[in-house]
Amino acid sequence: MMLFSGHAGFIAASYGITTVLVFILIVYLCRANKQLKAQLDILDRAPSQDLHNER
Amino acid sequence: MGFVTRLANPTRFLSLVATILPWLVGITAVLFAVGLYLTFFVAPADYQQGHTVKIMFAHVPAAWLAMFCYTLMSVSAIGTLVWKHPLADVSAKAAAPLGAAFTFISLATGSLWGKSMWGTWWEWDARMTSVLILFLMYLGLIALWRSIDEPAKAAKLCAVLILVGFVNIPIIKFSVEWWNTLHQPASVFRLDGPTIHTSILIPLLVMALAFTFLFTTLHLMAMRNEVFRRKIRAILIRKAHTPQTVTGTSTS
Repeated sequence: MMLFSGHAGFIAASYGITTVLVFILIVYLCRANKQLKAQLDILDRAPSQDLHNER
Repeated sequence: MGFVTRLANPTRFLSLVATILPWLVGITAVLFAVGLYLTFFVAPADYQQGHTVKIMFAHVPAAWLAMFCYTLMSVSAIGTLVWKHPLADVSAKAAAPLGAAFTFISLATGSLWGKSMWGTWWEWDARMTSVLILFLMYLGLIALWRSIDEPAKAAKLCAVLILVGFVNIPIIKFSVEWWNTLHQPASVFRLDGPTIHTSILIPLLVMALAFTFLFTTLHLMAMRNEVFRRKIRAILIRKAHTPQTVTGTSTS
């Protein structure tokens, strides 16, 4: 393919590294968000349950 | 300034992020689609470098963002030290890993471009060395934030270190003019205008815009996570103090 003639490996490696790193960042941020939201939900629910138990 | 002050309320900030994030994701995707199309199918090969010039469309925006991110962190550091804005430290802390990632992309793609064009992976010239120092600064700041448990103390110490490290940004920018370097001088942001032909300049600017939107999206996501972390910490601290009172009330 003319597009990748010459130093094809260098071009592929550059865009490969960039894509992989950005992908890792997105996955890390989304997973962290999911875990933190779940933790926050549990903590937010806990006091009302205590009050309920007290009653 | 009023808008920034209103964002000091975490709930207001989180609702703003929830509203604009989907739009940012959409705009980023469209910009990358257009940018990559222009890069690989429209931009011509360079008369000296051939198709290897395509590396520039990832390398240059990443390098700009590496410096932009540190500048943003410096502004946030001033916000922490001068105005004590609660989101200023959140912004700086969330930006550090992103800055490190973009600096790494800039170093890695630059190294690949250097090997194919100059015949060397690395040269200890002023531009490359100062960017490596920037990368190490980011890592150092991330380590400092993680090593101090007290957020207020960590915020102050990191803000001071960020402002000290800002001296490196003009050094990176002007290194190619102050010293004889293997790295080429600036070809876009010049007083006498860009020296790049528009057929290459336009795809480069579109890719730079795409990278900037990507950074903004990731930064807001990271800031939202940091706000959640601080909320959780605040709830846990409150809980650690309240059980005795609750138990005391229920038993009496």
